[in-house]
Amino acid sequence: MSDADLILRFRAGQHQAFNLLVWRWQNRLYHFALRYSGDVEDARDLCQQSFIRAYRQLHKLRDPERFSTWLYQIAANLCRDHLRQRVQHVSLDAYEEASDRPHPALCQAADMDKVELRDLLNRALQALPEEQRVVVVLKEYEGLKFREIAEVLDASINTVKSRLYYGLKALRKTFNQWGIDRDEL
Amino acid sequence: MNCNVKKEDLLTFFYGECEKGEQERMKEHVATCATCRRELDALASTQALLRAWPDEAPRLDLTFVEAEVPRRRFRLMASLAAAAAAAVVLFFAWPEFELSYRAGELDLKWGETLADEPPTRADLLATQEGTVALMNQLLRASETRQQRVFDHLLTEIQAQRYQDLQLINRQFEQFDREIYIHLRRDEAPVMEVLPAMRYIDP
Repeated sequence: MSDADLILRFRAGQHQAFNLLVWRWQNRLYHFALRYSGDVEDARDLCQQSFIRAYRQLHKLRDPERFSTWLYQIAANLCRDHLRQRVQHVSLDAYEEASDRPHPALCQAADMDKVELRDLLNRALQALPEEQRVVVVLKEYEGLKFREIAEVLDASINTVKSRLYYGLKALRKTFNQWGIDRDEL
Repeated sequence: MNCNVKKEDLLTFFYGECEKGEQERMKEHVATCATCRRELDALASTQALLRAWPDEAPRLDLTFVEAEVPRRRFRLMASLAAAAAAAVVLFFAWPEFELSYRAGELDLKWGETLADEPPTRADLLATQEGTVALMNQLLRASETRQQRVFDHLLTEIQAQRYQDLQLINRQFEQFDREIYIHLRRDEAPVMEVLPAMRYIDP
C-alpha cells in the first residue's frame, strides 16, 4: 500500500494508517535529522517533532503523492530552526571541542573502527555551512533527486547543484587535511 | 586542455540524472577529458567516504495514540443548554404567554387562546408549587448528568495514570538493564585493578 493510500485512509478516520506511515518513515527521518543536526538525542527529538507536526498538518497536504518531500520539508525546517537556536546557546567549551581537529596520524590508522569513522564523518559534515550540509545529506544519504531536493528546500535546481558541489569540495578538502581516503576503508 | 563543462552539468552526469541524449554526450566527453575524469574521480572518492557511515539499527519506536476526548457529549450538552436558554428567553419575551400547573400537569398557553379572566390566588399558588417542583426535577437531572460526566472523566484519568505508571516502570527496567550492561562491561578492568591495589596497599 502506497503512502498516498495510507494518507487517504487516515483522512477517512483510520487512525492506525498514520502509525504505518510513521513505522515506514521513522528510520529514514531519524537518520536525516541525525546527519543534519549531528546529535543523537537532538535527532530523536526532531524526528518525533516532525511526525507530530505532520500528524497535525496532514489534512493540509493537497497532493498525497508528495508526502515524502513534504515530510522532509517539515524535518528540514525543524532541524534548521533547532540549529539556529543551538548556535545562540553554544558555549566556549563546545566551540573549543568542535575546533579540535583529529591528528592526521590518528586518521591514517588502517584499523580505524566504524565508530571512529562515523564520528569523523559527522564532524566533517557539521563543519559544513548548514545550507550545504542539508543538500549533501539529502543527496548522498537520502538519495533524493535534484528536483526533489529543490522542492524540499524551496530553492532552484541550479542552487541545489551549486551547494552540493561546494559542499562535496569542502568535504574532500577536510578529508585530505585529515589524511583519510577511500583506500583506507 | 581547457574544459567548458559546467560543474552543475558534471554533477548531474555523476548522479545519472542527465536526460538520455545528454548522458551519452557527457559520457563521450568524459572519455576524452582528463579534467572531468579527475573531478569525477574526486567526487567518487568523497562519496565512498561519506557512505562509510551507514544507517544504524532503528532507534525509535514511535506510536501515535488517539486521544479520547468526549467532544460529542459536550457538543450535545452545549446544544441542550442553548435550547434551554432560548426557551427561557421565549418565556419572558413572548407577550401573550401563560404557564399554569393544575392537578399535576403543566399547562402552556399562548396567543389568542389566553383566558380572559384573571387567575385566582389558588391558581397562582398551584402554578408556583408546580414551577418549584419542575425546577427541583431539572436540578436533580442536571446533578445526575454532571455526576455521569465526572465519573467518565475520572475513569479516563485513572486509565491514563495506569498507562503512565506502566511507562515509568518500563523506563526504570530499561535503565536497570543499561546500568547492568555498563557494570558488566566495566567489571573486568576493575577486577584487574583491585588485586594491584591490594598489593600496593600495606
